Order: sequence, then C-alpha cells, then structure tokens
Amino acid sequence: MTVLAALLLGLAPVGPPAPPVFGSATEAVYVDVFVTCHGVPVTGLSAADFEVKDDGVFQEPRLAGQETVRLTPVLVFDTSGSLEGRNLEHLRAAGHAFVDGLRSDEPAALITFSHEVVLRVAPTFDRRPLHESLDRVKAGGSTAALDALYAALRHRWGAGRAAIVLFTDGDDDLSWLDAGAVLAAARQSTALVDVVAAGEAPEADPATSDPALPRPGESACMKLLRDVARTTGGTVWPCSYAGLRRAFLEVLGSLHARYVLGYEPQGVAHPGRHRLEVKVKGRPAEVQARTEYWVER
Amino acid sequence: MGLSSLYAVCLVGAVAAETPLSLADLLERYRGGGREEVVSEVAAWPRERVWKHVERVQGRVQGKQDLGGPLTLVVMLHTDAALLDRARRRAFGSDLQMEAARAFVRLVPADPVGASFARRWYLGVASYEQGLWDAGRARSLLEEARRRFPQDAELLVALGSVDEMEGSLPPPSPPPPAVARPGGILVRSYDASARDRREELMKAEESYRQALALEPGLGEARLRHARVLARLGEGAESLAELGRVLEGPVDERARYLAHLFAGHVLEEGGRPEEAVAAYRRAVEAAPRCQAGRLALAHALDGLRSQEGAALVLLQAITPDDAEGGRRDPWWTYPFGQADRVGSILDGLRREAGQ
Repeated sequence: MTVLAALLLGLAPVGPPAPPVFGSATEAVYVDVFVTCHGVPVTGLSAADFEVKDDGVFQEPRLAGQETVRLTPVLVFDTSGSLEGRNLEHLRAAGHAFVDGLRSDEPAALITFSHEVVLRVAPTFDRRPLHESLDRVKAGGSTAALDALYAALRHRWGAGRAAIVLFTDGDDDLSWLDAGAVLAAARQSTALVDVVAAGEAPEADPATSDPALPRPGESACMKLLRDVARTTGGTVWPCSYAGLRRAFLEVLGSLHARYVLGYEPQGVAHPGRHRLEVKVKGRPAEVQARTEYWVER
Repeated sequence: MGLSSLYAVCLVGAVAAETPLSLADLLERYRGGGREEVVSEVAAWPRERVWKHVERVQGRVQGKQDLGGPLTLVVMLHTDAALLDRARRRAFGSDLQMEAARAFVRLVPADPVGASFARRWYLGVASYEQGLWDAGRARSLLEEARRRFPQDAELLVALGSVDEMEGSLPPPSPPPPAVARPGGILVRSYDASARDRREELMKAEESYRQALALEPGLGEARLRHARVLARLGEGAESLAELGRVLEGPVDERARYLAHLFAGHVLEEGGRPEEAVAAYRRAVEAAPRCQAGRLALAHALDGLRSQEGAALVLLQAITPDDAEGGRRDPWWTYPFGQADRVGSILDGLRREAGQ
C-alpha cells in the first residue's frame, strides 16, 4: 500500500505558499512524498535517498521542514441520502476521530455536500466548531461530488496548502461541473487530495497493477476521483462504513508521515505542464507523490 | 357531477366475506381520520389477497356495482400503500400495490372528470418514480398514459424528461488505451453505453419537438428542448431555442435555467466572455442558486480572473441559513416534475375524497 503526496510551489522556500497556479518564475518546487514498504510507512530517509526527475531531468532535492509547506486538512463529506441512519453515525465518528488526531498547529475546515455544497467551518485551530458541525450534519438528497471537489480545490484556504480528504459512498448524480473541470483544477492546484470511498473494492496492489486502469465495476465518478488523487499525490482509501474511523486515522497518519522535498528546477525552465517522478533509491519502497505540476505561462 | 356519485359502488358482499374489513370500511377510514393506519394495513396485504381484491373490484366496476366509495379513492388508497411500501424498502420494494393502483386507474372512465384524474395520476406517480431515478417504472407509466392521451403535450414533456435523465447520466469510464483492443469487448461495451445515452437524448429531443408542435407556448418543453440540443452537440440551435424561451413570458426558474444553459453552450463553444455574461445573468435571475455561481466561478477561472472567481466561489458555498436554505432549480431539473409530486398527489387525494 502506498499513500500520499506531493506538491510544488512556485515560490521561495520560506513563507506562506499558496497561489493555486504556479507563477512563471518558478524558483523552487516542493514535493511532498509518502513512502511505504509493504504498507508500513518508511521513516528516517534523507534527501540522498530520493531520486527526483522533472520532465525527465534529474534534480537535486533537499529535505524541507514541515513548516515550509504547512497543511490545512479540509474534510469534504458526502451527506447524501445513502448516509441516512447508521452510516452517518460511522462518518461522524470518523470525523471526530480525525479532528481529535490533528496536531495543535494544524488548522482544519469542513465542507459537506449532497446536492448542495456547503462550507460548514472555515479553517480554524479551534476544534469545537468542527465537532459541533459534525454533530449537526444531517443526511439526505442527491450527490454533487464533483462540484464539492472543485470548490475544495479552488477555494482559498489561507496560508498553507489544503490536504483535502473527501469522503463519498456513491456516484455523482447532480453536479453542474464536469470531470474535465475538476481534473484541470486538480492539475493547477497545490492541494493534496485523498478520497475515502465507502463500499469500494480494495485498492489494487500498485506493484502489480497499472493505477490508470479502471477497477471492475468502477463508476466514472470514482475513476475521476482516483485520477485526481493520483495527480495530486494522494490516493483512494476503500473501506466499509464500519471501517471509516480507521480509514480516516490512516489518512491522518499518512499526512503526518510525509517527507517534503524541495529543489530549484534545473534545465526545465518552461511554462505549462511538468511531469514529476519521485523514487527511493536502492531499496524496495512504494512512493506516492504528485505526478505533475503546472507553471503559468 | 361529483366523482363519488360517478364511481360509487358497494363491495360489501364479496370482500367482507373474505376479510374482516369491507372495502367500504377501508375507504371510510381512509377518507376519515385513520388514513395512515389503513394505508399501513393495506400495504401489508399478501400478494394473493391483493390480486383477489383487484379481481373483485374489477368485476364490480365492470358490472356497474357499488364499491362503497369512489373508484378514485380506491386508486389513491393503493397509491399511498405503494408509496409507503417503497419508502419502507428504500425504493426497492415490489410493484404489487402500485400495480393494483394502476389496474384501478385503468378502470376510471374517460369522461372529462375521470380523464383529468387519470392523467394527473399518471403524471404524479411517474414523476415520483423519476424522482427515485427509476426511469423504467416512470417510462412505463408515461407510455401507458400517452396511449390514453396521445395529444397531451405535458405528458410528452414528462416522457422526454425521463429519456433526458437517462441520456444525461455520467458517461462510463472509457477503457484505458493499454487494454482497449479495437473491436474488443471493452471498446464495444463502452461504445454501446455511449450510443445508448445518445439515443435516449434523441428520443427526448423528439418528444419535446412533438410537444412544441402540439403546444408552441409550452415553455418547459422549449427549455428542455434547448438543453437536449446542446447535449447532442447542436449548440447554435440550442442558443436559438433558449433565445425563444427568454422572449416569452418566463418565471424566475426558467429565466435562471435558460441563462445557465446558454452559458454552458457558450463555454463549450469557446466563447468564455459571453459565457461569463450569461452566467452573470443566471445569477442575477436567481441570486441564491448555487449551480449558477459555481458555473460563473469556473468560467471566470478560465478567463484568469482569479480574484473574481474566488469571490464568486465563496458566495456559492457559503450557507444562507437565515432564509431557510437554497432552492436551486438545477437540483430538481433532472427529475422532471418530481418536485410537483406532493402537490399533484395531494390534489388527487382531496378530489377523490370529496
């Protein structure tokens, strides 16, 4: 199993990052990386353990401090009709556990969606409004997952970078925006997107399968969510409703266990799309990192 | 002449002998204060009892014998039992009670009063099914209604909206190129799904066109016709049709949706400035609607107007609880007239109970 993450910012290494589209004068790129071996996070790596290629050109990464690219977890919860009853209780419990597990210096926010997308709690260090809002959530209505994800990707979350954790248990049936709009927003965003999918089949083994392949029976919506997660450096966490709490804690653990690599791009000074490759040298490991970034023309 | 005098017949003999309650008693309780209780009882009847009951009522009506209450009341009793059954089983219940109601509505006479009742029953119940995404049941009801009322433009629009709903479902995932062997099963399956959706949209377009031929002033038909034309790739025709919608007398809903749909056509057609203008008009028409603001934010993003996009997006997702929540016509548009189901069925219950 692998997990998270990547990012790059077209700015100096210190100070609040965050314009969602990278400027043309890219001075530094930051990529956050989650490394696992047989599902267990790998810690203690140094910059020399990583190999980073930007559009196929080797770069010289260094390890950046967590403060350089602070994360703002944004919970994006599907509260459509299929969540009525015990399923909503499981989701609430998972949300509470996630909020309780946040570090004291991590702000967090909450969006809910059914047919309507609602910003319930703007980023805050205060846990009380998050808990209270989770307790007040009701289930009902259709599912506009794409609209919700677009809003989360494009909303300005303040200093730091959004770590979007989207929960859904169904197909999208009412979004106004389409898959193209969402995927473009993901490519141009600095956000990291993890998707917790109740009822989904277990993730395929990345060592033996192509992540671009659709899973049997996978809906177009889930395929898109998988693509968005992969593009931004996140992943899809399949689980049962009863397993939601555990899944959310695993997502949180992955957010806390990431490496942040920084480099000044060498030999790739061009606007537009840049493909990224990150590997761990000389040892078996699965690496989850953003697969591309975008420099504005 | 009232419905009760039109359809009233008594069943006391046959059903009372078989069951503790006569149909007359059931209808009296249904019409009186015990509606919920009697609906619940009827919903629990076993299959055999329901069909014996259907046969007996059919026999009585054909023999012009008294039922002990209006036939329309029998229709609504079983309709409510069906709705209760569906609600309890989360929409996957059997068709038993609905089929019984449907069998009875076929017996309702074709005079003006009866026809009006039957027509609204088909429309209301089909819209209910459509609201549950059950296109098969909705289509079946509407096709039956169309056979009975072939010149009814509103039924045509309802039928078209079911086809439009199916044709507008998210497309299936295309098979990845690495495994998509030309002519292989993955490619053929994907092509068939895409073709099916287009065929549904073409059927919807045909229904709306027929409805407009019958009733050129039917704004809902024109609005939906425009939307379907856009989905079929006929952007210019769609814009022209939307222009005609806006030239006529339009309410807030139609004005909002017409501008929203026009913005989408313009955006898809590579005319982003005009799309932004259309979305702005949609937001002006219905300032509290969400889809219009999301569309505008996305279009502004495309124009690199990031400050404006951020502000509009924030407005789109900020709750407006003080005024009791949003009501965006886009949220109900895919479901045809499902938002009218409550008022249609309430009207039928009142009418049947008179």
